[in-house]
Amino acid sequence: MINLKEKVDVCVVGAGHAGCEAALACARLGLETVIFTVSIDSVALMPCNPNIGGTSKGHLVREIDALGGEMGKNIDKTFIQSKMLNKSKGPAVHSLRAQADKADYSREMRKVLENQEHLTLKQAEVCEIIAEDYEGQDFSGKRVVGIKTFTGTVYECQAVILCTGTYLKARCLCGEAITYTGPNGLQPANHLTDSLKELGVEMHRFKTGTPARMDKRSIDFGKMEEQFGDEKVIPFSFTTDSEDVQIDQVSCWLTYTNEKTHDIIRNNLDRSPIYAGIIEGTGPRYCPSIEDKVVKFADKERHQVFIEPEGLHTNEMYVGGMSSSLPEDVQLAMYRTVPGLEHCKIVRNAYAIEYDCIDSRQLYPSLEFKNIKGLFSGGQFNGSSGYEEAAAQGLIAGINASMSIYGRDPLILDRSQAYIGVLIDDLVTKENREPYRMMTSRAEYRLLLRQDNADLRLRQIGYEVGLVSKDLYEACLFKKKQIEKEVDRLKNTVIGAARENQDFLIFHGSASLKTAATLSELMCRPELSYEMLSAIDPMREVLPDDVIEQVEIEIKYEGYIERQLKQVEHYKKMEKKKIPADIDYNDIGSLRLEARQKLSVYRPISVGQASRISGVSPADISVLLVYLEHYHKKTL
Amino acid sequence: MRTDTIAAIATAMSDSGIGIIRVSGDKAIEIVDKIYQNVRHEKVLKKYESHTIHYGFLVEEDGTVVDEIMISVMKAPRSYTMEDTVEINCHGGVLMMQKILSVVMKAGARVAEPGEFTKRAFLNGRIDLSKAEAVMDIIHAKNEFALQSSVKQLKGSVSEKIKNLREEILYEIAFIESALDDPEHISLDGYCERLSDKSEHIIHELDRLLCSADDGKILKEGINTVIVGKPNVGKSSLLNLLAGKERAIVTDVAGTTRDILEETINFGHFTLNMTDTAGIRNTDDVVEKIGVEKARKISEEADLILYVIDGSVPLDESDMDIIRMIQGKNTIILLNKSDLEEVTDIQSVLDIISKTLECDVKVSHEPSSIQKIEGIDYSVYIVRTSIKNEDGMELLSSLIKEMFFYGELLYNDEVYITNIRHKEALSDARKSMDEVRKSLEMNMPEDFYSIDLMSAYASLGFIIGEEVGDDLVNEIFSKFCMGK
Repeated sequence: MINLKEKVDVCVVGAGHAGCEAALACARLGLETVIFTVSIDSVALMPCNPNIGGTSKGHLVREIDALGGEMGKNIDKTFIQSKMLNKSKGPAVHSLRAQADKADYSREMRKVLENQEHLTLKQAEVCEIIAEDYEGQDFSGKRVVGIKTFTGTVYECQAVILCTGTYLKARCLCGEAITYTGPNGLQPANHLTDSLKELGVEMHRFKTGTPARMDKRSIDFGKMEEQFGDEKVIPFSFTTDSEDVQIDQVSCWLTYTNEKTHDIIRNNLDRSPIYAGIIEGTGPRYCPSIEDKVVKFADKERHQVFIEPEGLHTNEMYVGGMSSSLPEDVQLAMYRTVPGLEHCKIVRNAYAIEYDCIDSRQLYPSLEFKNIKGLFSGGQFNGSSGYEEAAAQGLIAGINASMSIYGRDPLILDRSQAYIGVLIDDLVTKENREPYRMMTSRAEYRLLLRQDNADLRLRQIGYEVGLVSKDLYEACLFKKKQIEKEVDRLKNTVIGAARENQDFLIFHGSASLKTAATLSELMCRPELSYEMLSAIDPMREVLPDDVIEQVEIEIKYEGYIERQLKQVEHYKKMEKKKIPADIDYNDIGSLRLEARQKLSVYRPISVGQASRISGVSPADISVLLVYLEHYHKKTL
Repeated sequence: MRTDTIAAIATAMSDSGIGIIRVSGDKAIEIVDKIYQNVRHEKVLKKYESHTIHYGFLVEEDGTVVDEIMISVMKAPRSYTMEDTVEINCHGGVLMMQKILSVVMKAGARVAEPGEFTKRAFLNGRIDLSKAEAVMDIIHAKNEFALQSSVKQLKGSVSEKIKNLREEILYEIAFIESALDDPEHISLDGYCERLSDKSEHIIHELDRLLCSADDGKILKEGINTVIVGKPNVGKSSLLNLLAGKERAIVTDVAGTTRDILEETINFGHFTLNMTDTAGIRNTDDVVEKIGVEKARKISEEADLILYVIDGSVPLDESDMDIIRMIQGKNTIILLNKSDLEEVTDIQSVLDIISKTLECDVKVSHEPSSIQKIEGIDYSVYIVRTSIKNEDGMELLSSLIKEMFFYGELLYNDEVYITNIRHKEALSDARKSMDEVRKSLEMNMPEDFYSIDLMSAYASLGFIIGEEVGDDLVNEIFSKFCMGK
């Protein structure tokens, strides 16, 4: 057999949300890139929920956008409803969520890939990672030199990015019926796992699931609560013109399970593959199947069910909140107990899916494998869940594969810079026994990591990497200046106790002034806003909405922001203490054995990261700090 | 960074029956093996299993027998330091212990620095910081009974208390965070009131901990003892006598006002945190009234009251006031001035107590220099003393000891924060909780509370050497329903 041989810079395996970002980043940074998928028609497929964003995930999308990624732009082009969640709460937890037209989303992303310079889209199953032994200055182990497809073609390359999602040795379960396919009946990838194991990669098996899709015509929406989008839609991307997203939106619908539903589930638990022990993989705690919810939260009388359209050109409706792996007959009976679904017709059954993924602690925070130079990975393959988590990792893996080829330092965002930093730090540091989902509670410094300031936080980094244009970067700098200037002005503009000022305050239910106050002091009052104060602030310039938003947040929450910055300062102290790559933990006698083993295996890059490894105690960290002091003195 | 092997005398440097030399480190067994022989004169220490004890002899390297010993072997990591440890139980006596220690030195160990065993225990992950610090306190505690309290702290009374507070705070953070991540199942309706109550409680607890750490004042464990009595009955003389006789004043801190004097006194086996109060008498004088009010307050917090009565003058209404004031408190009545003619005898004391408390108290008929008053449900003893002639002080000392052993007197087991590091962290936590309270008052959205709760949590973690880790996410999953 004569095999073809091709030579490129980067191979990206998988064209889901991680793969797309990874491939685009590499190509945009000028590297010849091939992106492989088992089905060209399934690029950027959304096999589960039909939305992008949501609590904390919306933050990820904003950050991806600020760094020069594609997800935000793509959802802005294809959304059919949009909502800012948690508006009654503080700005840190405001989160954008948009319903997508799934087919449109996939098509638009495919269009972007197809038209990207330096990028080739290829339908093929990658079966083997080709690596060779390598002795470098600071590294000895293996190095990636290429990949091989099922048809035998070899692509020589300098970096490979694995974004295989849920496709590796995938198996779908619907009650007793088990099929060996990827999501949506797509072809699984059955060979790559073995190749990875041969390279010494440790594999895990995870599980996730999706609910049924229903025929819109069989649903009685009269029994459900209609859920509208926001009146004024805010785009995800910082580059999208706000005017372009003011579209006619479609509605979602809310209904609830009840005791009848729960009874049916309880009576048929023995037929659930999870409870019957057929499923080996670990499922996510935060995204439980309806079976899990009924069992674990037996005291809840009802659970929410969201009926969401899958797109504008289909009658399929997604049944959010009721994912299941029960058999078909039980599914139908169970769904039909829900108000509005009494006569529902199922288009696609709910199912659970099991797949191979890795213990992501084998990766550096750059998302490169510690033991295999040039091999990167992102997305569900790394043990995460969710489109946004995948895209974020894909982008970083793509950037860092490129940085490594160009011989530049990797981009590592820390926990105080971005949700992406939190996500990746958690993945590569902590033991992860279930698919990892981003949550606001995982971000310690979230008042600083708001979705509204992602551009101010990350535009510069995107620009330095090379994914953000100079124009965009300068626009961001200008915005920063405007904000600073206005905050400064408000802090230095004094309002006297003149009659009209007092009247204004009394009118707005605010205490009158005893002595003069600055405008910023007045803005700190919960009942007053920047906009209201225009009445007593004639010197004000007209500023864009996004600038005003930042000014308002900075002034109103100044104390909190300052305190959070202090927390960050403390955190950074430990992050700044880097651990040399050639450290031999067996040299440190006072380290407990467990800590010595864990540190040797996971090789953290900083003392901060070391302290987050489970099994490494605060006492171990003290020992490590003492050792590093000695070490630095010795090497000086 | 291999650790070298250290040795020290682990028991008190006194002429007691048994002494212990502790040896710890990678070479502990190897080193002691050189100087230990069993009864058959074999060198077999290395063969002994961990946590066994053996009889034998300690010999110098030339074979001279130094002492008959028992030897216990504890192999890493199952020892206090988590290193190989050998303990040599030898005959007591300062000279013998020093001799044995020097033999151990010659065999290759070095003398441990003060607290080094504990430092190693901490570095090896055996104990957390506050426990380590308690052990340091043990090392510095001169008073033998203070040990008991230090041991208590070692078991973790500070850690315990801080841990509990942290858990309470963590629960609240987890609740808020869960509600943010899963509003379907977790509602924040009415939560602010609950958090408000919780914050008050936590602030109160922090204040109590902080109180014990007031401005560099050394608040060592001890029996909080208050001297009360009418003016001129010998209270101050008693204080001077106790302080002077033992010549062991640890601190001499003036009270908040001139009419209260505090001293920490080593008396017999105990540390007494002594407070002398202004004489109590019925008066219209404003200044004196304030003094009396203070005495009343201090008495409320006392573990032991020393009530001094002048036996050479009759009892009066002021004595009744005092008896009422100290009702319910463990009390020793010192019937003083026994060197003078007795006007007030034990019976008249019993009578006035009966009259004041409207009960019937008596003492046993057996003649004794110490009388226990029966008929009330707390401990009151009467001792005859002459402070001027220093009579009755041994009695007083042994009485306090007895009361302690019979559990009538509790050694102060309150948690004390004596360490500057602890104190700073505590006040940081306190400040953060204040911010939480402010946020609540300002009706801030719930997600703001967790910023300062998190700081409080971290500050407290600093005291016990624990940092914020994965606890939060685990707490969320273990306590709350999460669903998407």
